Amino acid sequence: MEKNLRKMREDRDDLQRYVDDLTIFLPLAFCTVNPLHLILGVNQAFQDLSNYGEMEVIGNEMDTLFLNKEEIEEFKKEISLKKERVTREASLLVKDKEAIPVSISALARRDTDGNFLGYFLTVSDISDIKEFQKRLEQRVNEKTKELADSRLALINILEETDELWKEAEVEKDKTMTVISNFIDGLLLFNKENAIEIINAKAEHFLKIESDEINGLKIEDLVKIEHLSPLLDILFKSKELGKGGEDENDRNEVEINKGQTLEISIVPVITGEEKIGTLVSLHDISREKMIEAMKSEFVSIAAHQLRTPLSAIKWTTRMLLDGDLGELNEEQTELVEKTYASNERMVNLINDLLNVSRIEEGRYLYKPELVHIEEITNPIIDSYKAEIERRGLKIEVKKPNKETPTVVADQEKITLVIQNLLDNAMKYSLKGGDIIFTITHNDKDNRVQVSIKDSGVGIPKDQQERLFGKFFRATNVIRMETEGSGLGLFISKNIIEAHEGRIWFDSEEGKGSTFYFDLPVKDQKGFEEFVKKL
Amino acid sequence: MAKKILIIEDEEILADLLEKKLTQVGYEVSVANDGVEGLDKVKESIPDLILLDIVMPRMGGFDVMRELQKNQDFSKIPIVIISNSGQPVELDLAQKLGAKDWLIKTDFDPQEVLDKVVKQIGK
Repeated sequence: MEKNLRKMREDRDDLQRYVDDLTIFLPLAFCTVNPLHLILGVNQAFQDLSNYGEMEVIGNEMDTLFLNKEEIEEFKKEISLKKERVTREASLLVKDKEAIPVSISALARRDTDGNFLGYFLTVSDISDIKEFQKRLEQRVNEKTKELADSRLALINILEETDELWKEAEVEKDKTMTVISNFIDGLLLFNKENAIEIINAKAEHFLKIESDEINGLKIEDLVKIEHLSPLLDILFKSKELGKGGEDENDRNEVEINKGQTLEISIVPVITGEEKIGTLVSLHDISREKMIEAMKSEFVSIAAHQLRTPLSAIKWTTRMLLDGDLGELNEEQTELVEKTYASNERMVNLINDLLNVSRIEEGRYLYKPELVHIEEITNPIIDSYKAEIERRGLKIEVKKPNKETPTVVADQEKITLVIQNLLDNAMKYSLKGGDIIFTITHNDKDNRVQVSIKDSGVGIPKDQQERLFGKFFRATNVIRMETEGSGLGLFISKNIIEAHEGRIWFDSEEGKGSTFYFDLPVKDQKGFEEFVKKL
Repeated sequence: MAKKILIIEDEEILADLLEKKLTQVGYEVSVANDGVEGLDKVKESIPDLILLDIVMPRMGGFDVMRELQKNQDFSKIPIVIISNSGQPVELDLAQKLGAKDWLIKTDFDPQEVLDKVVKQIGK
């Protein structure tokens, strides 16, 4: 019995040592605590963690080890009541250092009757975890903040976009209002040549509703019969049609009776890209009407003026011809002057009529395929006497071979040559030379006529206005009262209507040379020319 | 026998001057002061040539020509227009109605009118 008891004690002591040894080496900080929460023992790991020696803590109350006593008080209660392990976080007071975050776990020890015998308390350093957690939290916070910031930024962007969008809407509205209320009709075609916008004025001009044609391609518009005059022009244009030769994309079309529209076709370009074509319809009916009225007025006025002028002309001519009896010298002189004055008036009226016809646009009446010599030869012949009478000489230079054919309205080209010869004659001084030259320029295939005089020339500062309406140079107004100031204006219009060019060289005091040229045309070229009229 | 010329022209002085000029060289000239009178004169005696004005009271030159076209005998009479105007459309119409020539009064002398007449029907 005694022996058994000793044996049991030995066993118990062995076990105790075993446990002690084990706990010493256990990396987990560990204390043994009695039911009164007094520390009975601590292992090496605990000493390492808390910096306290074994002797400094044994016998102390457990809660002296920790910072937040209230929580520890609760923890203690929980341990004594619960059978399972109790865990919570706490702050371990480390000797001479700051408290560290720890996780503490305790498991109550009970005897077979369930009496509370104390407990084991493990303390594990969670500062790393805490630190990690803190950092994580910080990261999370940062991220959250970032997210919040981005969200805010996003909201701002959205708000800004919304504002911009609203602004754009307002601008769009404004633009649309301008387009809808624009005084001209506007048709906007997109890149695929389909109608994108048609404004109210265009609807009115074209007698059509926007719903009917919005989105329709230009080819589909053919179905709408009354649009054909407009479509003819659109198809011919460089922008919308297959044409492209037509450099001047402005046209007039009588869309309804008495209503003429001027059609302008312009590409809509942003940066370098063409995004559509704008067709504008400008009502020029009023201008047309005024133009026609003016033209008619001039025609009638000229017609009315011609009757008395004819009477004077015929009477004086017959007087001079002796048809009405012989005149004495003085009478003849006076009647001659009357005749000359009358002729000036006749010429002036002819010029006015020509200008009014130029402005009406119906000017080239009888285009023909001719050799220019057919026109120039008779004119030169008819001028020879007058040139001689004025004490001038004329020299004609032309190639031996007849020049190639050009298109000319003979009457009109005659008028030009007469104008130029009249000027050369009028503004030359006695003894002067007039050189009349015809050449064929192979390079650009044109026939050129030039008339050079050795006359007074044109002052440099006035040369620019030379082809303008009612232009008369200051130096010639003084020397010759005759001249309407319309001759060169008419000539320029005639030549340009023939696809020709007219220009001059001049030096005041030395003389002037006037040139014009006409493109050489064959039968085919002639037909094309006529078609365009 | 002298060739007969009918002048249809409302402007008296011009008609007188032409009459004088043409009579001097031996033509037999009669004058009508408007289209209606002119047509009557044609019916009285068919002239060898008509000098015809365009703008006239009662009946203008174009209507005179249209009337003449309706009658086989009258439609062959050569017509020379003497007018103050010379618009392309007028020239076209006159040509279609059978006018032989067109003179703008201010651009021609009576002598030149005479020359045109001679060219058409001889002396």
